[in-house]
Amino acid sequence: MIGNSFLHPSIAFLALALALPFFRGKGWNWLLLVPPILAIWSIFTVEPGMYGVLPYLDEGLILGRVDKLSIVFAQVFAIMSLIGMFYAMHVKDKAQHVSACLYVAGGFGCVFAGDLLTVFLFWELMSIGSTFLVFLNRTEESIHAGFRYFMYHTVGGLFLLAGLLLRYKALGTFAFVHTAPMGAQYYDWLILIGFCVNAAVVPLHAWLPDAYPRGTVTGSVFMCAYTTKTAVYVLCRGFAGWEVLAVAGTVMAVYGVLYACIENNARRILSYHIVSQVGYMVAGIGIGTAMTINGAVAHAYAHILYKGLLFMGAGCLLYAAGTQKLDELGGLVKRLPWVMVLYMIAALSISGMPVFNGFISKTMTIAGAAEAHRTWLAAGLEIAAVGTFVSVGIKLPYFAFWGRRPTYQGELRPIPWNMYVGMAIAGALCIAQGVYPRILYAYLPVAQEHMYTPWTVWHVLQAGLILGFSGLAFYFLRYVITPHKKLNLDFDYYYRLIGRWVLAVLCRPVAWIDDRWTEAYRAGGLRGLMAVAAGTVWFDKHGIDTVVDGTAYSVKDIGKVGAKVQSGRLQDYIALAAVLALCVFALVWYLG
Amino acid sequence: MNEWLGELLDKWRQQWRAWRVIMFAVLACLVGLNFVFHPHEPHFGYDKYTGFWAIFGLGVGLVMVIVMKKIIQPMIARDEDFYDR
Repeated sequence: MIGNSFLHPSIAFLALALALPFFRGKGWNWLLLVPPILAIWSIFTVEPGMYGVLPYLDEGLILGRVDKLSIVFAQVFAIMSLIGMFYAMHVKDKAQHVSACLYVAGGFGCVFAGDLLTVFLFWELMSIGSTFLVFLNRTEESIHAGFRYFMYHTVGGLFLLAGLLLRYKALGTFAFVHTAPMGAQYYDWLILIGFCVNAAVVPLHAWLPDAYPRGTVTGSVFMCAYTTKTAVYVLCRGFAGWEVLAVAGTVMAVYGVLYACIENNARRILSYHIVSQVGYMVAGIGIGTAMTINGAVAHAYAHILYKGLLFMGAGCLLYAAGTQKLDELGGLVKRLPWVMVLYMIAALSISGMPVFNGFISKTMTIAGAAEAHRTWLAAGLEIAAVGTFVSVGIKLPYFAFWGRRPTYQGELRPIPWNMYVGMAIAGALCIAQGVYPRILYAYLPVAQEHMYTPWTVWHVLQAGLILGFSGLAFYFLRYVITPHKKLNLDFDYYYRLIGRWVLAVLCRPVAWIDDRWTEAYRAGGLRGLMAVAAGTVWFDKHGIDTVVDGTAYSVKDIGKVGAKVQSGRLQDYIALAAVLALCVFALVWYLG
Repeated sequence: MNEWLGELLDKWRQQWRAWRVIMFAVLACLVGLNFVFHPHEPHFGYDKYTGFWAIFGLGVGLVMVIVMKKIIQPMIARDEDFYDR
């Protein structure tokens, strides 16, 4: 079934990314809303099927595999892109919008990809786009974090690439289909590791709380939605029912809340909670029953909305006050009341409070785990639920907006209206889904005999008891949990150690060779060069001056371009490499 | 609208004693309801007893915060410029 009546959402985002630099004057920021609206229209009108197969190498690149699973992820991606673009509309820096467009286009590309090679291409596009969303915060700290982020995702991408190529060699296909856990080969594990890097599976997660708090205010809103959830999608597509994911997911869920409990930086608290919440999804996928897979997908959908809103709320704090450290904030409820209200909608959603959408998705995953008799995993997820409410539901808002300490007295930058609009849309959807679960459940991918019913007296009472009494725990320990200005060591300590070790191993021999080479050059090469130079001078003096002059001018011009390109900044090289890669890709496609 | 809401919430903030009473009342109500309503299929065994989830929420919350803040954080906390030095 190959049709051509599907507008791939990535096209509009890529087109805007290409066109944006050429717009002048005012009003161009409204164009940011066009690709999201087209994407939403496209997703809600498309019929399932196979669209857009590009002939490439021996196989086709399948750009548009549209089925229930890809539709539900693409739907929330499209809605989130509209929310994110509204929130970012006031930003004058076009580079940020271009990066966001490339990044979102990569996300859609992965979701609709029917083969692993297409997944890989868009995977890397996401990696490049998001790296720039970190760079463009334009502080020294964020540039360093951007490099670490890019290095890490490049390594993760290489695992994926190695896995898919070895798999091609063994099976002769790039097809992206479900892999049964029994009889999995080493290349399947390589692909799984590549996916797990982006899903922030502990201990491969430390890039996330390192980079996300350092991204731009608006960029991190995009990043918190797409990278990890694209990874959840590909895990759901390829690795459902893998036991290792069930355990890893539960570990993530608990690990994230433990770190969030002691963190001071608002957006880092939220970042650790991405690790935790994605843990629920990974666990659901790993357990692999119809209910847990649906729970994982529903939770991904709900999570994108409320986590986007949380990052928008924390972004407002950073935008207005210039800091996101809780020990420097406090008592802001009087001056930023709507930010507090909207933040709380998201905070109660992530905590699984009835009326909000976390209640209908999180409980579904936990109940699914319990019904599959995975009692210990379900217990781990319940423990994480308590920690979530303590950190995101109470600690963060308490120390930012309330608290009985001296309040934040500094200047507050007024928050533009469009940021409120983005947050209001997300907040409205969080509540709508919580109250009418059917508007989310209708899109779940796996057919279930009895759809889970969240709104029962017992579920509401249970949520009330768990959240109410974990709130009481916070009340008793509010002086203990007070955040401190500290850096908490995480696994990135080891990443840096490995990095330093690799540098030492690689650099020492190279430095040694370089030393010897310099000496040899000084002794022999330079003398030879001088002789050649003398010869050239003679040649120049005695003859073809015009030809030599002409050559000299061209060399000078080429040299100028060369010098410009070699700026010494890795971000320029990455961008240049991406452009070159696209050119090569186009050439191969055109000639092949 | 912004100022109106800000004033209202700030007033509530100063009435924290009343909110504390409300909180304890709500918690008591929840436990009271737990005597009437029980899960159809208890998954964990102990959750068939009244008050299990209340003790679970309180216990996990207390243990998590105390262990992390008092035991784990002193071990893993460094100065903020630790990696930049």
